[in-house]
Amino acid sequence: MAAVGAAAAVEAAVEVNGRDAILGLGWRPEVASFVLAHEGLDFVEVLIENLVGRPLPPALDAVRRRGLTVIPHGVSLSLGGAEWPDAKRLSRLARLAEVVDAPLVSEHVAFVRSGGLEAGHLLPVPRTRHALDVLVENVRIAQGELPVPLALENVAGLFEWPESEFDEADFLTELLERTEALLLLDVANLYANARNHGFDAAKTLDRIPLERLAYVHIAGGIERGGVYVDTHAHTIPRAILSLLSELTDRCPCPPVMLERDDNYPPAADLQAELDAIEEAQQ
Amino acid sequence: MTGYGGIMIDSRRRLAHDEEGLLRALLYGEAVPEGFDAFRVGLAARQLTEKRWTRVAHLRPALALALGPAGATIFHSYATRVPLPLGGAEADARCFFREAMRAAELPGDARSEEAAASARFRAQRVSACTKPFHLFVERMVQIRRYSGARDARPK
Repeated sequence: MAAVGAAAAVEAAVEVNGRDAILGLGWRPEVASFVLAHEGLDFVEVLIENLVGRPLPPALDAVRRRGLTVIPHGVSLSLGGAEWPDAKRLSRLARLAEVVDAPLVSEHVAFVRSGGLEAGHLLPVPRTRHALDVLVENVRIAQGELPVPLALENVAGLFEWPESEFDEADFLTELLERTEALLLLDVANLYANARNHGFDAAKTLDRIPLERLAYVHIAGGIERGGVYVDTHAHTIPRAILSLLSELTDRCPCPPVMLERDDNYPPAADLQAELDAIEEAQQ
Repeated sequence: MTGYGGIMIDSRRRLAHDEEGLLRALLYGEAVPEGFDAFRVGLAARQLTEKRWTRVAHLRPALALALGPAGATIFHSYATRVPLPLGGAEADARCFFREAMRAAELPGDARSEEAAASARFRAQRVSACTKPFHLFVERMVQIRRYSGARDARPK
């Protein structure tokens, strides 16, 4: 797989609306009508776990007929877990990629279960040599089962693992180089980790392989008890939009997708969020 | 590929040990493994419970409305005893409903919401799986899992 121009590949797959920015929105039933009514959206991302064992919701099918690109996004493969990736979950992901004719699929650099215990949410993996080896092997197994390229997303963690052998940039870089996976960069997660664990987010952008960038996630959050929490339920803070601008300076106009999972605002406010994202890329 | 050889098995064992230790702290409130910031791990544990409650409240709006602000507190006390069931958020909502019934007098719409959800669940299971004792098997797996989890706690 060509390492160069990953974002360009996604760009080619989405039908660009004659604007500079390529915009996406996380597809949820609550925003389905907004997606259909909105002329400026180029792609949506669907959570695999919401579509398992049932036919495509008619609203999502309508989105596809409108010509929007659909990217399947997983949260339960647990690629950073000690166990081998679950064959059933992988085949569901592969099947969904074919059903929606996706240019790529995405998952997280995270674990969600271990030893029969289910966290129910993405947790950061220890940044050690042995954890990286396991992660690389799991990603390769997943890539072997998938009909399209896999993009890996950085996650936010409220805590840090002790005895890290890599920092976040080096860990991500080595993972992407060894697996040739694409990058789904979540600027809100990068901001949250930089803020909560005391490193420079913009400098991190200089040290990760942006030539592997497929697309970008952005979301809102809040400051709670001295910690920044990535809620996907609040307005995008100014600082995260600035980080998006920093990214766009280094890598012009990557596809950017807004994630909103709760506390859904009126259409006008959602539109304002998308406008702010577009403006940050100028 | 590195293969399934001895070195990788060792890496997987070490990773499993580390991740399980952290998960037991996050999910059962057990001692935070050495080297972690206990306050931050506590915040993450609270976040996991809040996410569970958000999903359950989304699946059972009438129940969430009936419980009001106390819902989060009742859910928190339930969640520290009952780990997330294998069946995910829907199973979590079913288990929590039984707990909520004991904690509060629930109005008719919350009860009929649960009855409708249970009926949907049974219908889906019947159509998805032809094995008649599917539910029984799932239950046994869960019981084994919970008792295993309890056994793993320090005495």
